[in-house]
Amino acid sequence: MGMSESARFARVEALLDAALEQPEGEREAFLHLQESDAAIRTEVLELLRAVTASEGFLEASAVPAGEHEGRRVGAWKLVRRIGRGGMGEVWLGERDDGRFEQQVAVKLLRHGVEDAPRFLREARLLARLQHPDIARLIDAGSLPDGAPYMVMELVEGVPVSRHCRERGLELPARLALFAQICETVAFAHRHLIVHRDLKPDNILVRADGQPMLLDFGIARPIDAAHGDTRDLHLTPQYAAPEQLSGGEQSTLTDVYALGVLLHELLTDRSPWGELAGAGVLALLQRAQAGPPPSPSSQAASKTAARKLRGDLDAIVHKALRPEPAARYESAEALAQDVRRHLEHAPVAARGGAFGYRARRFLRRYWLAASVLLFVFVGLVGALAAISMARQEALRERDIAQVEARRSKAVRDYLAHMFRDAGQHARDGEPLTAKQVLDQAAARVQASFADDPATDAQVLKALGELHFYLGDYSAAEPLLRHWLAFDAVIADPVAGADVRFTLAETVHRMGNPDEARALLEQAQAFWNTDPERHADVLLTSRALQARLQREAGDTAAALETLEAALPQRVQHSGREHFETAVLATNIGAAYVQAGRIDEGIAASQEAMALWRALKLGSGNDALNTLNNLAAAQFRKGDLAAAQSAFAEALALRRQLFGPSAATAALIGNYARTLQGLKRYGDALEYAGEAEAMAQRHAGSASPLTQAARITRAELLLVLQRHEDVGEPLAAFMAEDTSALPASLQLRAALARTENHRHRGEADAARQALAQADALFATLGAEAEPFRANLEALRAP
Amino acid sequence: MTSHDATPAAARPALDDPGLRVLVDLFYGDLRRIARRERFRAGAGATLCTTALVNEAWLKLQRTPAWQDQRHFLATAALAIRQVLVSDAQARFSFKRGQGESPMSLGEEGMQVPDAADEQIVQVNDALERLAALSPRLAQVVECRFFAGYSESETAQAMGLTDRTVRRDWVKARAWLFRELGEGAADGHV
Repeated sequence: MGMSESARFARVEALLDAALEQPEGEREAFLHLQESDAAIRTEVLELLRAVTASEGFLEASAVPAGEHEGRRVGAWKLVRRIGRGGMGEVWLGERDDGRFEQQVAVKLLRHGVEDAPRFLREARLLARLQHPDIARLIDAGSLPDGAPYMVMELVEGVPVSRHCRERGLELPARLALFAQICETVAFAHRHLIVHRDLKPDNILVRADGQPMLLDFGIARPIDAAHGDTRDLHLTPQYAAPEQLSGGEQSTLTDVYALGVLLHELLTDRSPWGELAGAGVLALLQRAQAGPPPSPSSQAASKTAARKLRGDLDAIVHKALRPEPAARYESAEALAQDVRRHLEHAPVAARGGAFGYRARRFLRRYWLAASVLLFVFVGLVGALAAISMARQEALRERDIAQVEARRSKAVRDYLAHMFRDAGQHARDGEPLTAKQVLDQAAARVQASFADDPATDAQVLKALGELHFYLGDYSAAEPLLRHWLAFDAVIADPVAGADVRFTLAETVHRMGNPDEARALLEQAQAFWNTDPERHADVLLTSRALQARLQREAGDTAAALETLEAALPQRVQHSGREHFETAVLATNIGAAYVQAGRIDEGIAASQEAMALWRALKLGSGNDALNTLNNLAAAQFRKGDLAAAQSAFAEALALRRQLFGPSAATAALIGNYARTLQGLKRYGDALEYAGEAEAMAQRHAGSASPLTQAARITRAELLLVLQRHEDVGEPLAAFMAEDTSALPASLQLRAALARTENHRHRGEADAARQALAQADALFATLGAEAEPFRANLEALRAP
Repeated sequence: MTSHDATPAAARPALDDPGLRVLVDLFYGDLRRIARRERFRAGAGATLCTTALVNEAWLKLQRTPAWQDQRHFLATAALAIRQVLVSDAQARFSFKRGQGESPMSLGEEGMQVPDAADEQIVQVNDALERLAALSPRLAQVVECRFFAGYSESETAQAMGLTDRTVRRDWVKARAWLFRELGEGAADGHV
């Protein structure tokens, strides 16, 4: 033992190094030649065995590849690992239920377990992102240990940069491909999904030349909800400066990554040169790098450089500006400029006075293209209009005028928003505006507690917008949230307003008592100065009348509305939005009172007002059309009713997508088809109405309950007796006492028939007695049910 | 036969380096939080997603004159991360075994549940001290790769070595630890 420990180890280490250079079978013999000390030889041999045995030991994500093999994930079985990265592993998966052959990519994510619910919410958003150039999200969930997974369409292709190099694509072909990629990214942006990790590895090109984008929205900072804005999964080569510094990320972050990609496709080189992988060191290099060189300065030849100098240098430069606001306003605008270059038109990226004009010109495009930006601009605009109106009012002391302007601001905003959404209906995305609102609502609610005074207006506006969109379940918590801070906000005018909107909301959710209480509170405040609040007081008569009618007092309801009409015309004039609303409600009230012909006339009058106001395809006109159709239905003119309902429904679906009001319309359409004896079709629509109403208005709401009864009636007439019990039981499971009497009558009749068919004589007799009592209280409104009731009364 | 490239001695941070304290303080809260959330669930050892942490620390500190040298920063950060993880694991581990009071405050997060990974961290740390007596360089490679989660090239940058040397050193150090800790250490929770 002449050697020190460390000198001895140095010898062992050196022998180990040398042995590892030898082919495996010759290592032992090699050691015998090199080393005479048997103890050292033994130690080296032990370590050589340990080298093999310790593969993967202490490694990041050192899950042996075998561990997941054959594992079941949802309906899929993991076949083999096809990738591994910072975000987790990617596996090739196959359908496990043997129903059909499908191969998918299963991503097992490393996101924290506590983030799984949030992740699943986002996955649902991603599932809606359907575009031929975007790999589809097929399924998502979490494993028993809580780790989230995603199942994606399996894409076979090569990264776009490699595709361009290997196929030797010419510049115009590369630019066209790039523009197509930009437009796909713009599509995702319109659905409010930012990619955050765009890079060639996530943009594959298939053998047929079609680009496919992967991993949308996955690379988001996982801890944003906990105030941790670091993005754990950025790729240094493509990261925008705001990602490197942990700043706010947006669609413009993707524009930056597209700029890096364009540079790469133009030059086959990264603007940053070769960075050291994807880790800390690469980040440090990026953080210290100056502005990127222009593409032309990195071109392979003088000829190539000439093609890049000018337009393309300018386009890349503009996409890669460190300040997000100085970049292209959207991926769409970037694509536009690339296409303009291809068409030899002047590009926006070239500066100067012309550039300024061109930018203004381009604004048209990006405004139309980016609902995201537009809606936020619109919301800010609407709020600005509201607060301006409020300031003016302080000078003029005319609250009524403020209220009118306020509602006009919100209405203008809505009109703009839906007109814009309509323009993009080609993508079938009527929910986009809704998604914008959801996101905005979440953000405002989160920051509300910190600064209620500042956020109160936004919260109120969002609550109202959700209400106008017919999403009462979303509006309710926002408005209640506002009221919880009523004392802090200390704005009684706004407080009355919020109570009114909440009254409307809870009324539509099937809670008339609370609606009445809230309405009375609001009206009590307005009545402290009825002249100042004349406008909103008149508006509130509609809800008042509806509550009266639903409490069974149709005469009082009609009286309330008829008293309001002359006041309204005097206050606002004839061709006015609120006048039209009132006329619509009067039409409905006549129909409810059984005065059908007057109802049809009033509804037609209201429709004429809507058309005069150029709101013939707006939300309120749709309701009027619905009422008109309902009146025609009640009159027995089913052919007219059916075409009116069909027209209204098509328009509403196109403009609004699923909502409580859409569910109401579908329910009415189902009843018309029922009247036309198209029972099978009617049943389908009734089922759709029930599901939609349940989702958007709640299970106890009159809408949902009415759809259930329609379904029960249809099942009875279709002789599907075994299925009738389900909708009737669902109906009876809720508190039915507050429902309109006519609906209760229909339910009692259906139950009578069902019990009778099942031979339950006592129950049938009880239900029939209920029907009799309801029939007696209903009066004229009950007439359509007389024949049915008399048939059941017969033994 | 021990010839290698540049001597790593200059990059080895001293334990009394005042900058080490700064980094330990900076990493402490975040690292424990990330570790709690992300660590070992996939059996990944102590190798955390430290990229963002180190990057953020760099962004905070790069204008301080003491941190002008990237290599010095990376090496010190690795040692700091190792210290935080080990002291945290030791606290839970010793508590679990009933060896008296936890030597440090458990903070607002309350009682931490020790797990197999704590044991591995403590064992690797102890074994690493023994390896450091034989070869400081191999020990520092493990510090960078296992504790700090650096890639090969980052480790190479931190230590002033080539990528190839780091790769070979990592294989050797891993084999040595594997043998030292016994085969059992590698089973189950790795």
